[in-house]
Formats: sequence, C-alpha cells, structure tokens
Amino acid sequence: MTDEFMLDGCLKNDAASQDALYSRFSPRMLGVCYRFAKNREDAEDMLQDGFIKVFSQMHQYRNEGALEGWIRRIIVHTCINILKKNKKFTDCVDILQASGVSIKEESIPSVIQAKEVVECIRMLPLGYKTVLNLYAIEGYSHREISNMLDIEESTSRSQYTRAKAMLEEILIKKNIIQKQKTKIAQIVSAK
Amino acid sequence: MENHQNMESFEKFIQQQSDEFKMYPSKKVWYSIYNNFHPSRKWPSISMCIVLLSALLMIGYLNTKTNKVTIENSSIAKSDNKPLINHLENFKPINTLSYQYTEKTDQQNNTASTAKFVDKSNIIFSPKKNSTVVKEANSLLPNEKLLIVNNIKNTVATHKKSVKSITSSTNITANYEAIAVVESEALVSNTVEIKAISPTQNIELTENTNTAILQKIYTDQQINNAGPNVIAINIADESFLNEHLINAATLSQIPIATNVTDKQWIENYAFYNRQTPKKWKGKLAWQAHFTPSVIYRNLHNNTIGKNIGSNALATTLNNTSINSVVNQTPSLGLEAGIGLQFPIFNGIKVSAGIQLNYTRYNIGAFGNAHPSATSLVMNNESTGQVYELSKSTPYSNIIGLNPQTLHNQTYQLSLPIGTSIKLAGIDNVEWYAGATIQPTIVFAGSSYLISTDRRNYVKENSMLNHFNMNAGFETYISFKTVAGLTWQIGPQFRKQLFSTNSKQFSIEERIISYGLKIGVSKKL
Repeated sequence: MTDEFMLDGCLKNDAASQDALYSRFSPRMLGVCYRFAKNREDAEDMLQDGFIKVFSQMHQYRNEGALEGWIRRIIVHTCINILKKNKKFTDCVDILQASGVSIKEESIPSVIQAKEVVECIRMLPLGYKTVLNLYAIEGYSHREISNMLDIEESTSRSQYTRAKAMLEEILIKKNIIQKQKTKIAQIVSAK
Repeated sequence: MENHQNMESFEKFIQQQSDEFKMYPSKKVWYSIYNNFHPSRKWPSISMCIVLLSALLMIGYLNTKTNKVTIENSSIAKSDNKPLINHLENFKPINTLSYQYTEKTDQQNNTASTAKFVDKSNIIFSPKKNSTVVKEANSLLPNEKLLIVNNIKNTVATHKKSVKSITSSTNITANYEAIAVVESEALVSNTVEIKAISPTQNIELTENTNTAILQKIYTDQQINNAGPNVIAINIADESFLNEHLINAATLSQIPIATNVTDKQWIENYAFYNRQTPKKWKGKLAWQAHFTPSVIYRNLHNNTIGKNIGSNALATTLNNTSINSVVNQTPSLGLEAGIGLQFPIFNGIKVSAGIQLNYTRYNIGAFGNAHPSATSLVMNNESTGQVYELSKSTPYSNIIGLNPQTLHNQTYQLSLPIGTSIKLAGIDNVEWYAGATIQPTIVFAGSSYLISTDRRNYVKENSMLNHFNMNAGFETYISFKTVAGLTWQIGPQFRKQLFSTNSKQFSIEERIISYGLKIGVSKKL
C-alpha cells in the first residue's frame, strides 16, 4: 500500500488503511513512548492515545516533511501531555532531587545494545530523561522544550547537561559507551 | 573541540541507538484504537429499552378491550302454543348488544312486524300500523303479562302514551293481569326493578296517574310466579311510538325470557356486555411537538481556586473575561419529540417522552494555511492542578487570511419529564404553564475550544460532555379542534445545567435556548 493510498484511506476512516499505517509505525513509536514512560503498560497507553490523535488529525497533515516525522511529533507531544497530566513529570524536575539519584551497578540491564541504551536512558530521573529525550533524540531546541515542559530555558540546558553526564556514567559502567568511544575515536581518526 | 566532537558523537550515538530500538505493542492497543474510530453499537440497551417499552404499551393497549360475550342462539325451543313464548331462538345478535327478530308475516294484514332488541337490553317493538290494540290484545292469552322495558330517559308522557296505546280499551285491561314497566337501565345493572301497574283497576290514565301506577312495584318473585309469559317492549323513542301501534299478535311472537333462568341470562348478558370504560381512556393522550429555537452560550472560567503553577498563566486566566474576547453569535437549534400526557388532578398534567435536540452556535475565526502551536488549559481533577496541553491548530481567533465561521454543535437525545398546570380556560381554549427536566445524552457533535492565550481555536471533540441535563420552562395556549386534536403553541425557555465540555477543560460552557413550541396531542 503506497503512502498516498494509505493516507487517503485514513482520511476516509478506512480500517484497512489505518491498520497499515499503525503496523508500519507503531513499533518505532512504541520505542519512543517507552523512553518516556515508566513501564511498558504506560508506554502502550501513550501509544494508543498518540495514534488516536494521529488518525483524528490526519486531515492536518500537509505532506510537508516525512509522515513518520509528523507522527513522531504527535506521539512525543502525547507523551509529554500524559506525563504532565499525571504530574509525574513536575514531581521530578527538581534538580536537587535528581542529583541524589545514584546508579547501582546491579540495576544496569545487560541486553543487546539498542535496548540496553534505551534501558539506560530510562534509568535516569524523569526530568533528566524527558529533557534528554526531547533534545538529544527528538531534536527539539531548549526553547521549545521550555515551552512544552513549562520550565525555564536555562533549566532545560542544565537538566540536559546533567542528564547526559549521568547517562555517560551509566553507559561507561556498563561498558557500552566505552566501546563506542573507542569505535568513534577510531572513525574520527580514520577520517 | 575534541570534547565538542565527542559530545556531538555521543548524541548521535544515543540517537542512532534509540532509532534502532523497536518494540511491538500488544493487540489490545490496536483494538482500542480501532474501536475508537469504528465503534460498535454503543446504545443497544437504550434502543432495546425503547423497543420493549413500546411493545409493552402496545400489548397493554390492545388487551384493554371490552369484555364482550358472544351471544349464541338460545337453545330454548319455541313453543308451538299461542301463548307468548319465552325463547330467544329467533333472535340473533345484530351486534354485540342487539338482537333482531326475523320478520314474520302477519297473515291477516300481509305485513311484517319486527322486533328488535338493541342497546342496553332494550327491546324495540315495531308493530305494523293500523292494527288495533284491542284486536291485538285479544290475541293474548289469559295470564299473559305485558312487560314494558322503558328507556330511563323517557318521560312520563311516553309512558302514558305507551300504556294508553295498550290499555285504551277496557278489554285490553281485562286481558292483562299486569302491565309492568321495567327501566332498561335496571337490566344493565343486573337488578330488575319492576314498576307495575294493575290493568284490572279502573284507572283513568293521566299523566299523574301513570306516575302513581308506575310506582307500584312487583317483585321478581311475583313476576315469575305469575307465569312464564312476559313481553318486553322498549319505548325508547316517542316519535317512533307515534308511528306505530303495538301489535299484540306480534307481541305473542316475541320470545322473551320470563323464567328466572332466562331473565338472569338477559341480565347477565346485558351486564357483561355493558361497555366497560377503560380507566385511562379519555385521559391518556399522546403528544408530538417541535420547537425551533435560538441558541446562546455563556463561557465561564472554572480554574478559580485551583493550583495554577505558572504566574503568567494565572494572570491570563484570572484577568481575561472570556466572553469579551471571543466572537460568537447565536444560531438556530431544533427540538422535536413525542410523548404521553396524563392528567393527575384537575388542571394538572404530567408528561414523559423522548426528544431529539440539535444545538448550534457560531464562532467567528480565521483559517490559516499552516497550523500553529498553541495550548489548552486543562484541569487535573484528581490533584486540582491546572496545566497546559500542547496542541496545534489552523484556526485563529485574532488574525488570519481567511475569515471562517466555526460551528459548535451537538446532537442530543433527551427524555423530558414534566408537568403542566392549567392557568385559565374557556371552552376549547386553555392556557397552561409547564416545566420539564430533561436527562440528555449527547451522541454526536463538534467542539472548538479557545486556547490558553485566547488567540486560537482548537477542535477537540473528545472534550464533549456526553451526558447532560436540561431544564425547560414553557407556557402555551391550547385549543381543541372538532377532530379531537389539541394544538398547543407558546414560548419555551431551555437551559443546560452542566457544561457542554468535560470538566477536564478549564472553560465551562452553558447553552441557553429560546424557542417557540408547537405541539399537537390527542387522547387515546
């Protein structure tokens, strides 16, 4: 099914087209949600709400940019809104609270790399994790992040700095970043 | 530089790893999304209730019929004797309450006479003309009695005429042992009150005399013991009597019940075939109505007293009067419904029914080519926290290239329950005032919500409140037509008690409608 046919079908509320779109993008989008959520169940709830909004607002998609990017933005907004609604995010924005989090060696997951990295991201405090997800992975600017999360831009920057530092520490302890650092250094040196 | 490059590399690394990460959701997620856009029948219970209620009402209405007894020809044999027979075999019902005696030819006059037993156990005897009463009376055998069944509405003059026509000759009186007049209504009530006169008395028949004579009562026992032959004649119509003479010969052919069994049969037949009035008949009425109306709305900020995190947001919410910053105009709505009315006291009626409503009002806005980011102020009901929900929308409240009119509309199903009180009335024209309470279900609609900064509109149908309650007040003039219909017309005011939107949204919206109600009703 081509993208145009699929989009036309979704606009007409055709179940087969909606199923096709959902099947194509839901695995990756669930991965996005999983990075924001506390657990898989919460991630699936975010995914469900997000796709309902995707299908509801399908008429607003103007073919400007990739469909996946448009869907992803909606999913991310949905995740943020759910976090804000459940007040889980605002509880954990406090830097002082976040600074007291310590990473235990035995809690670091030991699975394949992509999932391992995501699990390490999920281990961060909610505020750090959210800012890091939005800035480093989703590509939002600190200004946009501050508007979305209702925080100051400077707070967003400082949160991200601390989040990245903490994530690096986790990845190093897990010997993932160490390997990648070596690898990247090799690539850089090769260039 | 290296540090910067390492940082960028780090971000690329986690970005790449995250993009490669996939998870496969459970089937439940897709089913929930699917059901959201392809809902199954959500209201089978309501539609089934309506079907069941309608079926029950129909069954009750069809079964509350008059309990009629089918009268078959009596098995009593006709006597061959001249004497008056007390059988009914020659009578057959015309309808449920009537008999018609088959015509028999009068051999002397070659004319036919008929006897009819109609309505309320009356027996109408229609003798031929020109027959003298004397001659006819002589045909009566001794011990024959004349039982005159009289319509209760007849006057004494009618009694007099009938009695006189029978007893104008002394010979007639000699042949009669008794002449009894039975009020036809008495037959209906399962008791027989017999007012008898004695023809053997030399009575000058005057109007007053008749009355006195008629007061003399024969008991059932006396009538029964007096013999089996009693004739029942109806004197229901004075003008009818003027045209006819009582034909005694024909009288002898009238089979009537004289013994206890037959009389009881007649009485029971009349009693059980009396039309039983339905208790609610003449009271219960159906009504159909429709009300075109003008819809207004009022917006109100419901974040007062809640915990607003941002000072800027608080300032926006508390200082801005929403109704002054939105461009809204009323629009037309419609209500249409059917129901039942039942009077409980004199001048007070209760009613219940079902009604479809359509509400709409207009919002002046602008459409933009590209959507812009905005937010909605939401309430967290559990925590009392106010927060903003990010949205994007192409509709602006302030400025834009394409002026547009947005329609906030709802489709509703309500169950109005109300009462009406009669204020005044002359003849067929009456003046009523009424009130209704209407539990309402909103089953469809569209909703455009004003954004936090009041600069945009966001379409969000999920915020529609699916249950609501309306209160209505009305006054109307009703006038009855000859056809039995009653028309009502008058103004109606209807107010929505709960907000159109869910409590999650920070702005409450109330609908008010002013309309003209036109209705028609008819008693069942």
